[in-house]
Amino acid sequence: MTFHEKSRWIALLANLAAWSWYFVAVARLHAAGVPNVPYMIAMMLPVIVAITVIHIVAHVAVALWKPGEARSETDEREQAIARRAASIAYNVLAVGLVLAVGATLFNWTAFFAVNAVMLVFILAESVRYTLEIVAYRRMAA
Amino acid sequence: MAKRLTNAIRTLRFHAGEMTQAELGEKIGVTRQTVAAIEQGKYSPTLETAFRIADVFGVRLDEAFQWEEG
Repeated sequence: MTFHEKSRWIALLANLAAWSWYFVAVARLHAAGVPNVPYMIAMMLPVIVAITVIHIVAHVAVALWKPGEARSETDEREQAIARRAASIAYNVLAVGLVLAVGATLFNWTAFFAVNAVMLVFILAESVRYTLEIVAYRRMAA
Repeated sequence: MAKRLTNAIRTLRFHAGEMTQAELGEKIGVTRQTVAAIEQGKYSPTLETAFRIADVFGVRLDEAFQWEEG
């Protein structure tokens, strides 16, 4: 497993864990009758901090574990994998954003609209990471 | 019948003193995993990398890579 494949696993798991916590917490807030945008924004901050910390700690740990493999540049196969995954994820993002914006026509509140857009971004990123991991696994020895 | 890209990298590595995939990768600027994927036909390299591989072993491009019936 290359450093960049490990990096994608870290990104995917950190994203899924942190944002799952966020959406569950937001859903609970809404159920409790406090669909409040400032509350929501205040909850995003710890999520972003947590993802950043997880990224840094996990990448440093992986680099220390196998220092010879740790590198910032990607080779041509890794770039090809990243391009293809980004291309598909872009379509997910475009369709998702159209649906999220379109939903505002049905009297969605700012609370729902902002969260729908957030969900689309996270979904597109997760699709990108997942497609990269699948491609790496398919080509693995 | 469809044609596909095959290669003789495993044989060429053997004749080059059992050069490892990691050593070849270092010489052509790709990871060991990419060399393994090329060798197994799971990834088709760019023309530039194909030339680099042939150059490392001192052979012609068509001695390292072949376009054959699948």
